[in-house]
Amino acid sequence: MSNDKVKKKAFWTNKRAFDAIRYTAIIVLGLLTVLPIIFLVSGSFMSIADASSYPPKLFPPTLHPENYAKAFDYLTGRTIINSFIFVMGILLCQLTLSMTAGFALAKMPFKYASAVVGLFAIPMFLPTNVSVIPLYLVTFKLHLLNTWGGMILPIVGSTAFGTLLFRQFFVNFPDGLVDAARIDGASWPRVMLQIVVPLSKPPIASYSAITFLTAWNMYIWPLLVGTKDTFRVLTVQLAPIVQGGGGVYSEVPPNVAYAAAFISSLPVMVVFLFAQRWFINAIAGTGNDS
Amino acid sequence: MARKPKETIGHVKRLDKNDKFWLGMFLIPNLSMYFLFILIPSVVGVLLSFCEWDLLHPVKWIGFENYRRIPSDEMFNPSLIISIKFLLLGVVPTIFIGFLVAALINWKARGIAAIRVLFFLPLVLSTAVAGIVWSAILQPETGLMNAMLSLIGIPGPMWLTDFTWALPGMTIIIIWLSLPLVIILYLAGMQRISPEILEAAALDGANVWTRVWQIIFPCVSSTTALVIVLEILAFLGSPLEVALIMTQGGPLDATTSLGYYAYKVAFDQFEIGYSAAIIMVQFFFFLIIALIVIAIRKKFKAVSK
Repeated sequence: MSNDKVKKKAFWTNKRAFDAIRYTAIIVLGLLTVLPIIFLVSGSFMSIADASSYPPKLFPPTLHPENYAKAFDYLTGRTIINSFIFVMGILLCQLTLSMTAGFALAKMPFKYASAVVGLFAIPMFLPTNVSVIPLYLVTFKLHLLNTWGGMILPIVGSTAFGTLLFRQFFVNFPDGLVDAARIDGASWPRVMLQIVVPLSKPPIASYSAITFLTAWNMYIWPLLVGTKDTFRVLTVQLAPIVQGGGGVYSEVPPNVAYAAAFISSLPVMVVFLFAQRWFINAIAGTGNDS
Repeated sequence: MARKPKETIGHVKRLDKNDKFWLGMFLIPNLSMYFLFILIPSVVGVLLSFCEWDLLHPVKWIGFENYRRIPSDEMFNPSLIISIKFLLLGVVPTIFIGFLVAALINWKARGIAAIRVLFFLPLVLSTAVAGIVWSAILQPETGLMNAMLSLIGIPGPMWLTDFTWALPGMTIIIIWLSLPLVIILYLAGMQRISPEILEAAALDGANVWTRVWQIIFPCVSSTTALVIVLEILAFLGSPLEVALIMTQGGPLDATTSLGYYAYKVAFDQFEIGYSAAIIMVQFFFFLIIALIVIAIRKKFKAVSK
């Protein structure tokens, strides 16, 4: 009996010790993972000398918020607005196209529905990067180079993922709701806007979160199509800082470069922190969890 | 097939004229964009790999000439080897670390949600931002990485400016950028494991190590298969963008992967057809690996049954 008790206690303390180790390991690994981001943010508040000193400083000895003014001057408000136009354009167009088509494929019975679904699965079997140059040519032939249409529409064209995601969600959407509205004489767009959209918040949120993130970080396409300043997005504006070497004497010194990098990541970080659950649902493939 | 018979999909049995109009309105914009910007360019891309074209002169069909040229191309083999190095150095560590971190944070503990965010955060950064941070961290004389290495007595290499260390340096960056995805996928997979299985194992006296590798790991094998394919794609694809931003393929082509080489052939040498052929070869290379992964998984499943 007493032996049993001792054993139990040993097990208990053992588990607590183990939990403590696990906790510590998680925190240490977590901090190690964000170390580059901490380094970036704290470097963005340092003087040039502190930001490039050796050994590297993890915390700014003196605060230099003016780096942010300089970074903003380098990035320009125009570029920031451009990034938002680019992302919102892609997001709104893709969301509309994917939802309508996904709904049609799930709830409007027609002969070729399964053939069309199959059509959307093709990109999985095609090397998409072989299409960058032809895509550029199509954009060129349509006279869309250096236009918002050219920046946004070719990206919007990749509707396969979204359409299949929404179709999957709508297949499980209660028929009764659609039927009832139809019997009451509601038109299809009304069914869509007043019944389907309000009840589809989880997939909309997941899809928007992941699309926002992908579009915000796109580099090669906006670099190729938007060669004029008026179409330059943040990633394209930032890349030359790295390519220029980012040294103390370069046009953009490291502390300002860090500030610029942080400014350009801030919107997507904020979106991520507030919509974390939707990002994770989208990635984990459970967009219809509610 | 579990599909419902057509008559019972919704109230609508047959589409009338008005329904057909809206069906078209719902489908055609999507499909036309999809054809114009995805399907047609992809097909054209595949066809271009059989053509000679420099953007100026008319396109000329040359059959398999581009593919025949590949074996004698002095740049092709080195770039293929560099792509394979990226895969070998990157894929397994990313999956291994990602799995272990997911197993660690798959835990109901105080503050765990906040701690998880730390691991997810690199997901949101663009390659350009990662480039700015990591070129500073990997800076040989003043960078954080070598400062930390010197603390434990290791003289750090020259990283991105060194012929041998540029590729491992870039691999570290890509691992850092792709870990969140792997962790999230594994975490989702682990949360689907029924708690009874884990409890039973704990009662059987299995220690932590055994539980992780002999119970949790086999339970998430479908995630592992998915993650392997995704990470192969990531380590084939990302070196292009990272190299464009950080190394321009250098020093001395040490980070010129197949993807970057194809990009250079197209945009520096204007050999569009040949570039497409290189991308096609890379794609088949990927397809073969993916098929092997799927075959191994099938075999593994059959054995475990």
